Amino acid sequence: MLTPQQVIDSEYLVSRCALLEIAAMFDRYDLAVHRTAEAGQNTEKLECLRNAMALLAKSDVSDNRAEQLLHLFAQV
Amino acid sequence: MQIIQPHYHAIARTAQDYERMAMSGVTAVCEPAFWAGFDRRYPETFIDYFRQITEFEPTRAAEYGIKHFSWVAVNPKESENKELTQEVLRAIPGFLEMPNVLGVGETGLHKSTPNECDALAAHVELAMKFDQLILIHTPHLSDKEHGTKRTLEILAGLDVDPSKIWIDHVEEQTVKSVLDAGYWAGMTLYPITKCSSKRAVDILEKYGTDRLLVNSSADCPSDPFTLQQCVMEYRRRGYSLQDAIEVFHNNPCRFLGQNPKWDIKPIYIESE
Repeated sequence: MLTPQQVIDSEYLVSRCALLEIAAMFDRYDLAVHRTAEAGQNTEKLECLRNAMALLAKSDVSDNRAEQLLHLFAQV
Repeated sequence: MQIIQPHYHAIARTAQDYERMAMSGVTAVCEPAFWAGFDRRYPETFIDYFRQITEFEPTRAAEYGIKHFSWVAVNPKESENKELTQEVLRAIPGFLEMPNVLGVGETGLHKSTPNECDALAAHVELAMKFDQLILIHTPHLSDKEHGTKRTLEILAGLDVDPSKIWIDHVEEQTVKSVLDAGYWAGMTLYPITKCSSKRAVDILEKYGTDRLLVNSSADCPSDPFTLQQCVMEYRRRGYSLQDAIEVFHNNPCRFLGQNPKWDIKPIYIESE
């Protein structure tokens, strides 16, 4: 098994990249809303992603974050 | 569609990469001098490396019908060695006379040390003296914002023509300052640690296509086909074939064509 530091050191850049892609997706959505002057017709998926990020931002959850996210994503 | 790969470290790639690039429409690659994964100790090692990218590598590219151009410089990482840098700088003018050398690059900053800053200024002054184009690397990851700011400060203190300078590896936090100062900006597509194809298209949509270049760099651990991925993403968002040609073929022609050795002309396939 990896040590805690190995997890951080080996996976920081990949995680950083994934977060940047998510940030860019939200920017892309906002710009599209601004350009077309209308929001998406069904923003349930967007809210689901926001809820997922809120869950990830918590430091006091147990070690089943991936499982919790899959339950969350199953709702849309 | 014909594509130009304006920043491509061919010596890090296989012949099969050339073959696949040729099959996907790449007609020309430009190879800046870069860090070889370890710090070289001798000026002669650089000179042989310059010979490799100016004499040998074009023959490998030609096997697949791809034109190969190159740039020469001491890369930012090794420019920390002042003596080595001075020795190599003395050899650069001879390479600038070669028929496929487009200018001085990639120079720039890595950790933005005083020695690196001096080396960047010396490269820029050399390029301006010989009326050459300049390709400037900006630092990686957490060093990028400060390094780009420092690069712009150094250039502002020199007598330069911004239209002849391409500042590479811009991302969302640096692109505006580079374009606002009048320079060309390059987006380098990496699978993880630089710009992604989607984010590059976002930047094109936000800032327009004027003075923006897209490249893969293609050194390890990059992937030369991130450029084609970006073309696909651009087209997927509804841009026309001519729009894509403007970004991925004609913009490189506009910048690189300032050097008369660049003999590839912009392509226009749709009438106004």
